[in-house]
Amino acid sequence: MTGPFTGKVAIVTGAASGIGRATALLLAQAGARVIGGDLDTKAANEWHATLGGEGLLRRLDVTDKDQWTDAVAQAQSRFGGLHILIHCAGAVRLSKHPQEPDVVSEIVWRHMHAVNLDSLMMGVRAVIPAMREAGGGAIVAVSSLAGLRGRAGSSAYASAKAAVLQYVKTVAKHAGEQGWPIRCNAVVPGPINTPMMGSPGLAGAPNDPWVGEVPLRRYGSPEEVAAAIAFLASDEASYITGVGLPVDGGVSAAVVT
Amino acid sequence: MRLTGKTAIITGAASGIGAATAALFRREGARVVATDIRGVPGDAADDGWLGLAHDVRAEDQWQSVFDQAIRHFGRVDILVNSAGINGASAGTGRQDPEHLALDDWRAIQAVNVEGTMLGCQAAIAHMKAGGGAIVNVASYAGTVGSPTAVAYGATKAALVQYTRSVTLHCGRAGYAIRCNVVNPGPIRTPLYVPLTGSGTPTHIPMQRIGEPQEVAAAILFLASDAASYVNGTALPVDGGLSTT
Repeated sequence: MTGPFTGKVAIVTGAASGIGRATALLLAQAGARVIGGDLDTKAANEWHATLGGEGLLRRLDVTDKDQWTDAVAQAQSRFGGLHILIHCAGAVRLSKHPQEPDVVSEIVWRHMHAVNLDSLMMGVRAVIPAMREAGGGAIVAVSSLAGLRGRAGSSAYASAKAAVLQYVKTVAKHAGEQGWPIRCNAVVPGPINTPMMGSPGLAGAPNDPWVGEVPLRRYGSPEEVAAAIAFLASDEASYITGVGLPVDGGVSAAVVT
Repeated sequence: MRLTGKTAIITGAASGIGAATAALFRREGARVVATDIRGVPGDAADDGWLGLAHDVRAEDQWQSVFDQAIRHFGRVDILVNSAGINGASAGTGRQDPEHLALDDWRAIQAVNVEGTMLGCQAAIAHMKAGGGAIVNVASYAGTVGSPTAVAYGATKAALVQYTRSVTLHCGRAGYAIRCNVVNPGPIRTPLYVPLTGSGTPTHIPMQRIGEPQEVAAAILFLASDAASYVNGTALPVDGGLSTT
């Protein structure tokens, strides 16, 4: 297929479900060759059939730096280079471990930061040389509305997602100052109908507190976040770097940012 | 084409970001009502283009612009408020807080803030039944202190705040209207270029100023269905300047 991403090679993490899956599909439809990474590759055959073309879904534990190295090498050897990293892999909780500040354990705290934040650091570090070699690139990370405001029940997750925004700014600034044609941005999703949010549907559960807070009065779909990610990853966003773009139906209009 | 079937009103469309946006929207299939204070020349053979002389400060002219848009194209789906002035373009005196003249302050407020406010009011009235998208144009200068462009900076900060309020109001009222704002950094336009010299702008992470087409692309995204869940947000288009 040809489109705005024809000739581009992308790694998309968290690609088996939710925002990652929708993004992988959208980029593939727009012409990109996509390496999807996920811990869960059970649906690899179905995923590949949906994407068609040359995409593949591989195991990628984003907390393992060697697996990042391997994924980048695979992009180069199989598709001849790497231009785009979309880092969607993340976790909002670790089984039933509470995250309220008075009871949060080191185990859940470290796990949330490893999965949501350390993984971004390792991913960025792994892709920069390949993107420089390819003549330029674009990185899009996924933060969260939880990273813009306090949320007691997700304290570790919120902390990691806030750090994602800060890290993206630093990467953008550093890349610019080094003269590398690499942009780095984040999306900041609000309530999205994904498995991570319990797949509540766009209308949400009856009396869902989220829906009442959203000016557009509904959850967003993974495809709507994917569309914003694709914009930031595309050449249309050529002067946009270091940005955290909310995709939240307007919730953040009432949040101090 | 991403705006097929849509009609867009774009103010400040004779130059700079407004002109680039109007041209891009037309290429993407929108019918374009391009307005500017002294009109906007267009291709007379293009029946998808309507150029109008329009003073955004005048409430009655907004009514007329929407009426003409609907008479020509049947509907209005998108409003882009890109008309704006700064002290240099308005030919005012000094723009620091100590020396700024009240008349100059008011002149800049009238175009940048009141013009956008009147536009949003007219757009809400027309879009509240069938939905729509509004994109305002603020500035990086509205997010940090602007000691030599104090009126301009204050108006652009006001636009971000105003955009958020429009979003929350439309949400409470149940209108399917999205309202967003772009914050351009230094862009090669008639407003910005006279203020600067040549040479590499080393204070910008991307080490260059932006082009009007790059802001137009961001406005297109926000106005299009690709941004269907993006609402009430201020999107920097600034080469990374807001990270510094």
